[in-house]
Amino acid sequence: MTTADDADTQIGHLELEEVTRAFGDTVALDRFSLQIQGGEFVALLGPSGSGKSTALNCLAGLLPLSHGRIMLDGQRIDGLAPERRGFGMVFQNYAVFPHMTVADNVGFGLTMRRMPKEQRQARVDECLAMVRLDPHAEKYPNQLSGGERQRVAIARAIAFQPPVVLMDEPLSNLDAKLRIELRTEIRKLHQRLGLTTVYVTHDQSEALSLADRIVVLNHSRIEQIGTPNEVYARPANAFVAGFMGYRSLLDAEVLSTRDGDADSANVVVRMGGVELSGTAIGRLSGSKASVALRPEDVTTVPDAGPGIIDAVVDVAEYTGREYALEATSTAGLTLFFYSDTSHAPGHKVHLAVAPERLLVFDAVHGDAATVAAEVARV
Amino acid sequence: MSSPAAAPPKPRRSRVKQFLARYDRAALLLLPALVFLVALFIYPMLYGVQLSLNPAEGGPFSNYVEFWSDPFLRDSVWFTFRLAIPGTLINVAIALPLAVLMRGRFRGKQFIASALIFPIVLGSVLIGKGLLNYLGPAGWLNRTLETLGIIDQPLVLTGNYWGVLLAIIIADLPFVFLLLLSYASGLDEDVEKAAAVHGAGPWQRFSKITFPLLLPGLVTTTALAFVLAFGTFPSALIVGDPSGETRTMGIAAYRAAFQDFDYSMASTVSMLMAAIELLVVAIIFALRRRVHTPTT
Amino acid sequence: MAAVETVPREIGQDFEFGEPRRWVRTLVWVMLAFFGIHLLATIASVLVNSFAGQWFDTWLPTSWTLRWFSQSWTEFGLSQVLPVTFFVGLVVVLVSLLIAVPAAYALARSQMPGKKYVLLALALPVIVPTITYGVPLATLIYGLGLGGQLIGVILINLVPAVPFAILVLTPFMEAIDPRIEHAARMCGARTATIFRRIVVPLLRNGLLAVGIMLLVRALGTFDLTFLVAGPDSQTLVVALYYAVSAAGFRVNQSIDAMAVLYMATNFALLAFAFRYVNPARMMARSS
Repeated sequence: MTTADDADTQIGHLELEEVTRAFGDTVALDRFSLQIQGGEFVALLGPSGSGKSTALNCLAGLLPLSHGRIMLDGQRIDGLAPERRGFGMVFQNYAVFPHMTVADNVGFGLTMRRMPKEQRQARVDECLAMVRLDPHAEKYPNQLSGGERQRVAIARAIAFQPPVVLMDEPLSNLDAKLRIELRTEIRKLHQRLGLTTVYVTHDQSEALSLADRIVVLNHSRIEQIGTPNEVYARPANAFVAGFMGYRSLLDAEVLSTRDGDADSANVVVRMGGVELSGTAIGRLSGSKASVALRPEDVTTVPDAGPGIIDAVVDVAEYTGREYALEATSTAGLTLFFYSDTSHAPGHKVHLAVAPERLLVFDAVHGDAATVAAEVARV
Repeated sequence: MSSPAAAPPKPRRSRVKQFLARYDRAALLLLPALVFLVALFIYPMLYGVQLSLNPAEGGPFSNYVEFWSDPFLRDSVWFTFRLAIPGTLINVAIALPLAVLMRGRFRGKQFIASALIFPIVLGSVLIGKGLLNYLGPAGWLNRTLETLGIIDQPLVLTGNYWGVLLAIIIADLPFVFLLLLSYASGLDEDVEKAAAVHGAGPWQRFSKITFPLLLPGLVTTTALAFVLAFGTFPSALIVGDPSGETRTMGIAAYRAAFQDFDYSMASTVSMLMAAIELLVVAIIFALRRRVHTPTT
Repeated sequence: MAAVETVPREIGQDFEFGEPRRWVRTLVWVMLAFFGIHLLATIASVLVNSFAGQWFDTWLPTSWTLRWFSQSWTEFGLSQVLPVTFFVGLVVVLVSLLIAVPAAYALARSQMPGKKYVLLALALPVIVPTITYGVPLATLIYGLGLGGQLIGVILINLVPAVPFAILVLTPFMEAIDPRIEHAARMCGARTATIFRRIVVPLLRNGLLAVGIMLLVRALGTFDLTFLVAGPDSQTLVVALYYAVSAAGFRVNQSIDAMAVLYMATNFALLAFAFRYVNPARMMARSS
């Protein structure tokens, strides 16, 4: 297969406009709008019940929309049955056809498209080689491991060169090591074949490592759309921050804001009795705010002082490269940080955060504990 | 494995011990059931075989010869199949689309499933009595058809083949449907979704995915439907024509035993009936094995 | 969220994938209704007739009465038949469970050789037509002088009941995690204690379900009881059969009155059963 073939099948533009899905009175997806360029890898990221799978099923045609439309290169496709959209899809539980051989599974889409047998055979062989399953072509799925079954499902989804490949948490049923292995394979296939991929996951590391763009969802709505770097470094709100690995979510009181200098050290907050300067993301509407910190942005300093949090180490875990520590400040704040040296529980530490990494959000989602509970809803 | 020279001196005994060691104490709990099975099922069956081989007159197989040569007895096989096969096929043919269509979640499903249980409790005698009333010459069905102008003369639906066939459908369809529904509900919906996304239309999804995956369950259900229809006894007596066209093997066996008091012939008919039924079931399952359908 | 509700639906299809479309659902309902109407009419014809005073060549009886019920009660000796029926039913249920519970436990827990054959042997009495083993067994029972006696009726009814109970109970037993028993053993419980305090309580729903199914079957099993029952050991369904088959000498309506009593008994049991078990799930498990 040549890259030219794939370029022919590549789409220009997939557009979802205010896609909404209501089940009775509950809205599972609320005005979801997103533009996807051909060749892009987009991850829909969110906790369970955030609407990410609903969005994918609407795109696949497995769920009819309650409102909105889906355009593929200027053609409206939301009224089409799933089999007439021509997409490929990978399911969480593999959903391989148990009564067909691996080769027949992979060739299913080609059979449905009435491709002549020899051509089909060649294409199946090619795809099986891509997912390194060529020795298993004549086996049945029940003779394969979970990882192999998911490879069959991936090969099945790409075999007929679909314009768009949808993936619904394809790795979440696999164990940790296999997950990382297959993740790399998915990214490689995407690049090699120039696919347009929409990938649903609740695992932020998966989304960060795979996607060109990430759509963070919560409560049926989009919270933020951005590149992995944007979403990770500049989360739009406390929820996104929590979801992206800002482990410490803390309540804070806004003391003063400074306009002008938009981006860094534009706000002073008090948190656990300590005054700290930080960076406000978005407008702060009142005196209550949420502060989000990543463990890697919290550092230990030798001495106490203004803007320094005094804390006592509770737990130290060795991760192989460094120590991950949890400490409680004198005022009861829980902070997470990394250190090259071990600290025994009970050890006193002084912690500092650079103002541009101390992100301050308006407390629209409620207090820090509420947000943390939402983030944990996987 | 150890070399022959080093092998233990009494390999036979140790093999027996090894075999017995695989029975743990829990296996003892099975003992009452096995004793029961041998005493009340296997022994009577063997006794039946022995009875059948000891006819009042003639050699050991004379009853079997007589069965196949006497049209009165031989025809009972035909009468049984003539009811059982259409009954099975009709029940499966009605149940299959219903079960496939009903496996999705929708309102009223629980109600239907529960309502279908009722005929099971009614039992065949009651259904037989009800059909006598309902299908009879002055029954509601004939009355309705006459009022609608569909027929001039009442249809004769009792005391013949049709009454028994209808009784088989009313009494057995719920069993068949519920069993098939439980198989259909167990299918993974995502597999069908995957087929849809990858280009299979509704008919292709049924023929290439749903039906092949349902086939093992369908075969088991067909076997059950046949077993139920084959054993039909009370309704053949009540709504049928037990001395004519619904003289099934069951009735022939009963007649021989309790009207002619020829226990040997009754056992012959019984054994043949069991053998024929098990043969049909074995054929059904052999067909199933030929359909290669590995499931996860 | 409220704003969404005001947006008119633009797309005609409002079904979910896998959910039958409207015309299909309608078709299903029509077919079921067709079946249901005939079934209900069959039952209703018995019910109506049992209350009918006079009913000749009309849609409904011209007069109504309750006298068939009292008549059938005396005419068919129901004051004796009913206790016999319940006694036989209860004994069959209890004995079956007593044999089936240990057997199901052994089958669920033990990986003994030949288990497959035991299961096959147990399936046979459920599969083969009752009449095939009924005739030789009835001959044996008469030979032992037990024909026409209660004990004979109970024995012959046990034949399909015990294997059925074992086959249905085994999956229930398998559903109990053996680690629970191991935990109890680690805490010092002996086998008998484990049975009494762990297995049987966890099996409660299964036992109830099977017990009720056995009772309904025992009450409804006609063929077997019919083969060995004497005048003093008739169950309701056999009495009903004799009434139907000798219809020439009986008043049709009093037979129907007895049928209604029979139906009412079974319905009462079924209603009780439904409080504990989901029939559709039971079917799935027993298969």
